Amino acid sequence: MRLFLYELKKIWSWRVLALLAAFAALVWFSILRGDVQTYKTLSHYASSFGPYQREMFDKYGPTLESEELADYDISGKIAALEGELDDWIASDPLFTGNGISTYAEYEDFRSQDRDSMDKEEYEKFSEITMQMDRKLWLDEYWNDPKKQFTSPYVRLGMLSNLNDTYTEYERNIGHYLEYENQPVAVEAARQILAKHNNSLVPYNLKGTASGYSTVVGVFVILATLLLVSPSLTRDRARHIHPLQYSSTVGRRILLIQWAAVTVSACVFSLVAIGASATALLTTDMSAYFGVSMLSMNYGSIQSLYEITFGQYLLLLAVMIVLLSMTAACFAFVLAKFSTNIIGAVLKIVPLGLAFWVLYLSAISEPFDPRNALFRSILHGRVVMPELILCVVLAAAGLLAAVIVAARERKADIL
Amino acid sequence: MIFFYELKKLVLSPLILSLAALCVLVNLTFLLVERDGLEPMGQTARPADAVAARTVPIFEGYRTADIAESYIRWYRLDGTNAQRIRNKYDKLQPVVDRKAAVGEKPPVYFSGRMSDFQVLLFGKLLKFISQEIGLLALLAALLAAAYEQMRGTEPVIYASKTGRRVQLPKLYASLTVSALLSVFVIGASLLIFFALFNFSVPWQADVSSVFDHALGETKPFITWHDLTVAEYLWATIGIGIGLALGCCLLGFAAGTGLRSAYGAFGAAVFVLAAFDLIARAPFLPVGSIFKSAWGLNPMWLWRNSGTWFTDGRADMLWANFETLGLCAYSAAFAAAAWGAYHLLRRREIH
Amino acid sequence: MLSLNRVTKQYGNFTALEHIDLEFSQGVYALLAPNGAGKTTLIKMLATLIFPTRGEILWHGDDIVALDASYRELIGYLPQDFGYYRNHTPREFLRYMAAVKCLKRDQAAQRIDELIDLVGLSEVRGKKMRKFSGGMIQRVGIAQAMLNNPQILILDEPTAGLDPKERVRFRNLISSLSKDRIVILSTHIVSDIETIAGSVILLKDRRLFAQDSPAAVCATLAGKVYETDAIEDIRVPHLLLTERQENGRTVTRFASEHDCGESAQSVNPNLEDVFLYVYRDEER
Repeated sequence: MRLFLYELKKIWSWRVLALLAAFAALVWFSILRGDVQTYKTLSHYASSFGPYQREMFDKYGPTLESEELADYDISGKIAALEGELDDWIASDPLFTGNGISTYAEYEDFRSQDRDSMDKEEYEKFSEITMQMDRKLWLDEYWNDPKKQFTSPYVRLGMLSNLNDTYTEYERNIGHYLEYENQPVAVEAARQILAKHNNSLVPYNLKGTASGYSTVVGVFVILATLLLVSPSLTRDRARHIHPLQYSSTVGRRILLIQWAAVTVSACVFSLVAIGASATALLTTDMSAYFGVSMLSMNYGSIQSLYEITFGQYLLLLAVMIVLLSMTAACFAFVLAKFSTNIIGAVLKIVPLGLAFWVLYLSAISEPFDPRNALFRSILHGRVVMPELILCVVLAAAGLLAAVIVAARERKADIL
Repeated sequence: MIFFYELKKLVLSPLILSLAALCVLVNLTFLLVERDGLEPMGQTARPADAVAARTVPIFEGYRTADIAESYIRWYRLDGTNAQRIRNKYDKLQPVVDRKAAVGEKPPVYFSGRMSDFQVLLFGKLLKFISQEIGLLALLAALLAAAYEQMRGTEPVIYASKTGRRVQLPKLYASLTVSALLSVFVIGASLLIFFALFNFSVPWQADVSSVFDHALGETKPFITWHDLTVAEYLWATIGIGIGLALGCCLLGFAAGTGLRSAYGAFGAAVFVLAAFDLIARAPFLPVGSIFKSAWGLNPMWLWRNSGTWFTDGRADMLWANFETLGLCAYSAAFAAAAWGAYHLLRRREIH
Repeated sequence: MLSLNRVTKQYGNFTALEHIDLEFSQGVYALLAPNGAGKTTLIKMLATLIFPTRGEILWHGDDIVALDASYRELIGYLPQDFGYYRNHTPREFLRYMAAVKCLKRDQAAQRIDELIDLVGLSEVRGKKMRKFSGGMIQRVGIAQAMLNNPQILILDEPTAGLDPKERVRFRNLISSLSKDRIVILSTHIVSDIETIAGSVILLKDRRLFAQDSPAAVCATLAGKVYETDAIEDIRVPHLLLTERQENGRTVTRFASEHDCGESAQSVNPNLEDVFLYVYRDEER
């Protein structure tokens, strides 16, 4: 145990930790903080659903039953907003000057056949519609979503999206059912249909958590490599390993070092996940832990599996921890073949880049039909391939480390 | 003499050679995957017919002010930031007028596929290559700078007549190796590219004509200077190699300035990460001088490699930003390398 | 003439060497002191790897730091931990060292062959050094130090790792080399220098304690070193030096400022006695 603690102490060098803290600060200020702020802003007035989806969640809980949908009366709200828009348009000279006095007329005006226009007419038409759009959107308040939300046109768009999601979902989900060669996606679509897309998971919840976890995941993996690599190589570079191997503990030191590396990777990744999650949970996300992710929002399936948002976050964290451990195991393996730090760096750089590319191409957007591993490589036939990949990689890393440690037990130390 | 010994150390380093080979292998894999995506359309492309069929003068009457205004609208800019963007595009107008006067035609040589190839070669492959050779150069320089320290030969070498000046041939060797590796990676990757794809481009035609539009945008591909496609390719390769040499200087500065090889690596990576991450930070508004100046760093230049020699995007305020960035950062890294070398000459070796 | 004028070396608040005044002309100079006494610090200053905090080191009146390369071309240096390229043969490594010492190629080739023969590595000149023993590596180190036929040869613990035969051979080599150059040898192995050093330099408490010929240094203990096989009978204050077994008896060698009369036999002091006597505080 004492030896294990010594190995841990070697890994947790304050210099490397200071470097990682500086990296973490950079990542936070340049990416993650913006993600949190964007989520907070979009959650209330500026997202595709505005505050309506959250209002429904507050009122009806995690699921939306048919009587609750009827009670919310989306179509009634839309009709009221159209009336409001009619009044606004009728009193605005930009619209009346172009012969538009109701919202329906404005829609007709916009849907004119543009192909039949000559260049001059087209430019004039584009200019007028742009001015009208900007007016209806309250474009001058672009940086103040709360003010922009006062526009009935903006609210109308949000309610239309809401209507598409909870009333017209059968139409939207149709194309998923056509993916016969993607049985997992088809099954997800069927399940959503069966439960009438009743999950009130907010539109921007999964995207924010997924994007945020990708940044954290890539950071954790690269940081793990930076953290564990030097101590392992340093023993070789300073010729400590003959002393270790010839001591009472002998070559069992390798297993102790491997354990220290793996534990360090776990602890580091958990600390990093915890710290980043704390920042994320300053938003309203924790309120949605129990809401099902198997839903269709705005024409897209959020998650292919019947899991809650809390479980989704947990799975993201598990995948990051597994990949961090994998990275640590491979760093352990490579360190055994490096006699100096630069030699180790030259091996660990491509390893880090490989993990980076792997994460972005196969792990990001997990449990989503758009995930590249799920869609392009496995053609939608495998359930949770992202998680399986992480487990397989972790097992491969573990196996590689064990093999190297076993081989080293019989190796001549020259 | 010492230079050749230092060169030999790097050239015969199995790790550096393996990394260079790995880069080519990665590019090969990437191109094979991309070929699968492009193949069905590739069979139908008949460039010569397409030229005759669909040429439209795109620069005639084109107003660069429209580009400025679209950026200003997109980024919701006002005040001096907006004005700076307008000023930049005002300066671009004579370039467009000149192109219009010589009758620049739009590209249809690939029957609408030009942008696929453009994106593949200039937007992706050359971007990857320039990043790869930059990384190789950084690592080669770190290896060269820290070589004696790692092997414990510093005392005998620093006590010799050459002394700490041995770092200079090391620098020259790492620059040479960086250039050689760059040529190898670029040469092999482009060879694979031209073997896999029928890139029957009119090499002597103006690049602004041949390329449909700027990468990922609807505006034309407007270069500040008149460049043929061949010249544009060479110029892009030149900037890529230049950036790699800049990275080599950065690696040398870190490896020579810091006693810990790992610390040097960490510092170099930190500098590059800071370049990239700070440029993404939302607190730098588009159109500001600082954002534009920061965007001249190598990481951001790599990110925007498909826009080199053009007006760039809204966050670039100056013409020829890639050359400006290359010169500015090469000078800065050279100064850092020089400073680190002089620091070493005064440093005690324990 | 190489001279040190009141050279002081400090690391922050810690003073490693203080007010060292020394002069070196042709011959072998042995720096004798226990570990941590500042030998390597002094050696490294002479090799220009570190610089005096105060004072100066002069070569014929010029500061060696200012002389820069023109001083370094005069020196040959073998550090305590001699680093080398594991994948090089001795010849390849010496060629590289010849290049950094700015030797001409043809001159270097001949010199390398001579030195490889001189240090007895002819049979392994084409083998990679990673397979070499510690003694063989040390011999490569000596060869590289001699490459430029240095006027000042600086050797830091040169016999570390050598077997007795190699050490004798090395001593003979140093002795022959010292005829027309300054050889500065740092060691704590007294037997290495007893026979070859023209001058012994003792460092104590960060300062120069003594500098003289071995005989003169030994003479400082004349009449104070005794041997006895009954140490328990010695009643005067004394310092135990060494013990050895002789015909079943334990013969103890000790030093005392007092006359021991008949109970012990006075013997001639040697450098080892001086070393143990001078550094008796460090020993405890």
